[in-house]
Amino acid sequence: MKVLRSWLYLGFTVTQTVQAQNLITSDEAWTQINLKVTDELVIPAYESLQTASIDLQEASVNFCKLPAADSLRQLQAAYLSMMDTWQSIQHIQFGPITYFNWNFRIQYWPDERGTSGRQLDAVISAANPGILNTDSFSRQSVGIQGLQALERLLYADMALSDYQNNDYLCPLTEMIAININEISSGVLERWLDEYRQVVIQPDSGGVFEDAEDLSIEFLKALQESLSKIRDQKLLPIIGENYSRVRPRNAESWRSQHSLANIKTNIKALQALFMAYMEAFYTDDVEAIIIAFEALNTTLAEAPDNMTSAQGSEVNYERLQTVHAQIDTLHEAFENALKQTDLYLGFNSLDGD
Amino acid sequence: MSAVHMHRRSFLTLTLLGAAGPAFAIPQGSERAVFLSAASDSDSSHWVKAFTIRDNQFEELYSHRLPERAHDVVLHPEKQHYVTIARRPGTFMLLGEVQSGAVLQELDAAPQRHFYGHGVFSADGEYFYTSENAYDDTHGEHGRIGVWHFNHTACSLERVNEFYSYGIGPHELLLMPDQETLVIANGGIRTHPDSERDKLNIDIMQPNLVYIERRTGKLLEMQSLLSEYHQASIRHIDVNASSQLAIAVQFEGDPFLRVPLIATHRRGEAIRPLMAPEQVQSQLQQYVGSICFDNSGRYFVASCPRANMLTFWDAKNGEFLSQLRARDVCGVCAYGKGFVFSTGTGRLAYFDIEQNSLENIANEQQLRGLFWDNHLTVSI
Repeated sequence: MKVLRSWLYLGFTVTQTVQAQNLITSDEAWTQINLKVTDELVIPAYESLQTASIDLQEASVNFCKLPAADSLRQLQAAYLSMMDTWQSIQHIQFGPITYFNWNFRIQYWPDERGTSGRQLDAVISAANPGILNTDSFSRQSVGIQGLQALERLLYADMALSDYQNNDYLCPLTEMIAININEISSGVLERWLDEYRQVVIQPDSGGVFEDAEDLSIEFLKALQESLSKIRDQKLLPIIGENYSRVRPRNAESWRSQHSLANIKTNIKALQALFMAYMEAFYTDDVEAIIIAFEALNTTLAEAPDNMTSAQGSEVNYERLQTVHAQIDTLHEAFENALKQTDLYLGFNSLDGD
Repeated sequence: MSAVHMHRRSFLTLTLLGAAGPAFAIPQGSERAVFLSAASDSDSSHWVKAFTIRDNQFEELYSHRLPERAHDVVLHPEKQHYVTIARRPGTFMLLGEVQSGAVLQELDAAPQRHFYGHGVFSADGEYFYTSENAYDDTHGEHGRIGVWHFNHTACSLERVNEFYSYGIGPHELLLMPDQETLVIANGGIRTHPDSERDKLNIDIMQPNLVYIERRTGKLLEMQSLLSEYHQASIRHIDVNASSQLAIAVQFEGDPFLRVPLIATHRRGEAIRPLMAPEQVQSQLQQYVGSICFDNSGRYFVASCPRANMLTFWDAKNGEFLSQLRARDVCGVCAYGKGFVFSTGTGRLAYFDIEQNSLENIANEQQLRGLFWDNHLTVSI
C-alpha cells in the first residue's frame, strides 16, 4: 500500500489560520444599526419611490389628455425622477422587493436577450386593450412592465408623433405608470407592515439566523451593487478602447441618464457603508472613505450620460477612471471584510 | 382588485423551522460516524477534511491539502475508502482511507478529459464511475462516464473504459438500487477548459436524465423536462430504496421566470416537476445546490445557498414541507432522524426532522475562515 505522506496531516483539530474578529459581537448592536439603516435609508427611499411613482402616474395622465411637447417633457422629467429614486434603492435585492418578481417588474436590466424591446413591440402591435388593467398587466412579461419599457416609449426618436399617431401608446404608458405605483406601494407597505418587524427580531420565525445574518445581507447588497456597477453598468460600455466604446449597452442610454444612475447608486452605497462603519477596522474604513471620495470627485465632473464618451476622449477616459475607481473601492471593501468574520458567500457566489 | 392587494397574505407565515427547540443529543451510533467534505479556507487553500461528532461537537480527524477545489467525496461500499474528485474543469482525483486518513493514490483524468466533481462505486466495489467532459471531441455530445477498476489488493484505481453519458455536461451520477443501472444527470451545459468556467451553449442547452447499463454503457432510458424548461440544468440527484429519484436543478434562463427547481422521477414515467410556494420559490434565485433523501427515504432536503435556505419535501406526494434559514448552506447528508448540513461560512449543524430541532455541531467562530464546499458525505 502506497501512502503519500506529503499530503498527510493527521491529528489536526482546527486547522485554520488565525483571523481577525468581528468588532461588533452582540445581536443588540447589529440590530441597532440594521434598524437605523431601515428607518433612515431603506424606508425613506421606498417612500420616495412611492411618491415619485404617484408623480409619474399623474404626469402620464396629464400627458395623455393631450400629447404635446411640453407635457411630454414633464412626463420625461417625472420618469427621470422616478429612475433616480429607484437607483437610490436598487441595491436592496432582498426582502419585499423580491416578492412577486417586483424587482424585475420595476426594472428588468440588463436585458441581454432584448426581451423588453421584443415583447413591447409585440404588445404594441397586438394593441390588446384587455391587458390594460392592473390584474392582467401585472401578469404580463416583466419586459413590458417597468422603467425600461417606459424609457423605450418616452425616448423613442419620434416619441411625440408616435403617441399622436398610435392610440394604444397612451393607455399603455398610463398602465405602466399605474403598475409601477402599485409595486412601489406594495414594497413600502410590506416594509412598514412586516419587514421592519423582521429587522427588529430577525430570528423570529426563522427569517434570518440572527441580527448579524441580516447585517450581512445589507453588506452583501453593497458589495454586489459595486460589482454590478463595475461589470454591467460600465465595462460593456467602455469596450477595449476609445474606438470600441458602446454607449448603447448602458442602462439608460435612451434617456441619456446612465452616469446619473451611477452617481445616485454611489451616494446610496456610501450612506449604507457609513451606517456599518463601526463593523470595520479604522484603517479599512479610511481606505474605503478615500475611495468613495475619489470616485465622487470624478463623478461630479462627469456628465449624466455615457454617450458623450463616444465623441470625446476626455469623457471616455473619465469613464475609464470611474471604472477603475469603483474597482478600487470594491477591493477596499473586500479587504475590509476579510479582516472580519463577515463572509458574504462561498457556495452562493461560486457553486457548481 | 389590485395586484398588491391580491397578494396580501403574508410572506412570513410559512412554516419556518429551527426557530426553537430544546437542546438534544445528536445521534452517534455504535461506531462514530466519519463525515467527509471538500473545503477551502481564507488563505485560498483547498482541502478534503474529515470530522466526527463528539459530545455534540465537531472534532476534526484529518485534512489533506488539494491542488484545487474538489466537489464531492464518494465512499466505497465497504466504507473503508473514499474518493474525492476535482470540480469542473479540474483533473485530479484522490483515493484515501476513511478511518486513518491515509492518502493512497493521486490520479489524473485521462487525456482530453476533465472531471465534473462526481463519481459512484458499483455495489461490489469493483468499479468506480466518473462524470467527465471529452471537451475536444468535435463529434456529437461531449459527456462521458469514465470507468475505473478498483484493485482491492493494491488499493488503487485504474481507468479501464469509458461510456457515453448521452448528453452534455454530465454532473452527478448514482447507482440505482438494482445495482446494475447508473443514472446520470446530464446538465446540458457545454464548457471547455480554454474558456475556464464559461458556459458556452446556454441558448441551446438540452439537459436530460439518463439511465444506462453499468457494465456495457447501453442506454436504457432518457428523460427530459418540458421544452420550455430546456435551460433547467439537471445537476444533482439522490435515490431512495424504492428507486425514486429526487432531482435538483439550476436554471440558466431569465431570472424572473418561475421554473421548477426540484423534481422527482421513477423509471418509465415522466419527470415530475415540483414547485415551492411563491414565498420560497421567489427567493431561490434559480439555484439548488445539492439534494438528499433522509434515512427513511420518504423525505428529502434540497439546499439553496443563494437563498440561504434548506427546503424540505415529501417524496411520496411531492409536497413542499418547510424551510430552514442557513446562510450559504450547501452540503447535506442523511444522518439519524434528519440531516447534517454544512455551509460556506464554516458552520455545521444537525437538523432532526422528527423533533423539528436544530443543533449546531460547529459554528462560524469555531471554524473561522473555513468554507465547506458543495457536498457532505457520511460514513457510518
